Amino acid sequence: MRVATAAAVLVALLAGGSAALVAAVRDAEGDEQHVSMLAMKFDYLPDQITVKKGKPVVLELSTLDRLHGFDAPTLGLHTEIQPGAPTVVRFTPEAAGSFGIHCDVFCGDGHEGMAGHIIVTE
Amino acid sequence: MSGKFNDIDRRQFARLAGLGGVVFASGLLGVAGGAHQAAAAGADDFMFVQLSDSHWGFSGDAVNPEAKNTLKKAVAAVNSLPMQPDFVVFTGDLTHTTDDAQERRRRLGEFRDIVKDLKVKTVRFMPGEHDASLDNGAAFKEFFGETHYSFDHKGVHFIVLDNVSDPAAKVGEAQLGWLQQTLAKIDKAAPIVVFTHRPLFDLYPDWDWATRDGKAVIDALMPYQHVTVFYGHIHQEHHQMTGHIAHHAAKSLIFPLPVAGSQPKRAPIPWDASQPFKGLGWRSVGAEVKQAAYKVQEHPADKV
Repeated sequence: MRVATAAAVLVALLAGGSAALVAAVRDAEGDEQHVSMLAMKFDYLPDQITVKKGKPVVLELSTLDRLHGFDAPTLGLHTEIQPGAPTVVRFTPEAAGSFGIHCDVFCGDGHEGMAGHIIVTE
Repeated sequence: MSGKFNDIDRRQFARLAGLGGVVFASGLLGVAGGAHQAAAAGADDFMFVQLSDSHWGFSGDAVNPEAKNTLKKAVAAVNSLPMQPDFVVFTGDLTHTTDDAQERRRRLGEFRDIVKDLKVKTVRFMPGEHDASLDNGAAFKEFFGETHYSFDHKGVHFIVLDNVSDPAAKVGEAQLGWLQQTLAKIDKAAPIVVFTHRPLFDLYPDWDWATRDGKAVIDALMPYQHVTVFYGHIHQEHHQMTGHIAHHAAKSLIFPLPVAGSQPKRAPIPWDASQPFKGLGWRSVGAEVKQAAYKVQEHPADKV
């Protein structure tokens, strides 16, 4: 049900011409990797992003409904995603692998399942 | 030892204490060198009961088809103990969360009505994130009062900490200041028990099993020689030390959660019809005071 809701939101935003969601990684060839992710009860969209090791990442986080958290403890990343304006996180992945992310701001019945991954490739 | 807790047949406790049977007896004061004067003078053995994570209002037959009965069974089981505890403490998530503020209050009210059937009338409460994080504890306070407080019982200092009313899982500067003021009045050798909902240490941050500023709490407690923490949140028994401070997580009364990191997501463990109530339970805690403590003072032979 939540996946269906998330998909509906994605379709609606794409239909509205939102450039931020056209591709998860907008520019992998320049000096930085630009990645966008949406937060909403109780999903990240997309719930998995892929970036390259050793190349700086600019991660733009936005929320569609309320305050959410973004916590990737094994990557040392943590921020709150405030409504109203994107939150930007910058980091350079130093090791390849799959790194979990989760919402650490309690947001309701389903909060415990609000999680995703950052995949770092060589 | 002749304290009343020690008069109870421990095997009988094991049979009675819980849905599936849980016994935990902690020598709260039984630490070598712990001959604290106040404890020796004023404390007596006693027992309390910890219940946690009842999530009243939860529904989901796949994980607990007995959701409407489990809390009531626990209340009946505590009432059937041959020796009633001095008090009962609920370490949070009394109710299951809801976005509907009216429904939240209905669940809190129903929970309160159920636990009124406990024989023991001293019952302590604190919120979990399901009770308090969506309204910063407002509804909880209407039913159960303050979310952090302290009290003394038979020479033991009990401190209740709220690490859930802030949805970002912080104790916060104001409460940390209150904690430091509270601790400043306590002897470093005094027995201290902390009740809280989330683990104060980083048990498994990937599943949000932590308190964002929990290290500041542990740092404040560290100078005290006899500190024990009882908490809930993780829906399973777990024991860990941070230095000399012991942390004990309790089972839930609604559904068990898997061991940290044992599966990709922290989803509830499904109900096992062949073993109803498996993984659910509560605990009794016996505080055993070592009476045979000796204060030794040496005297020179040349003084009369």
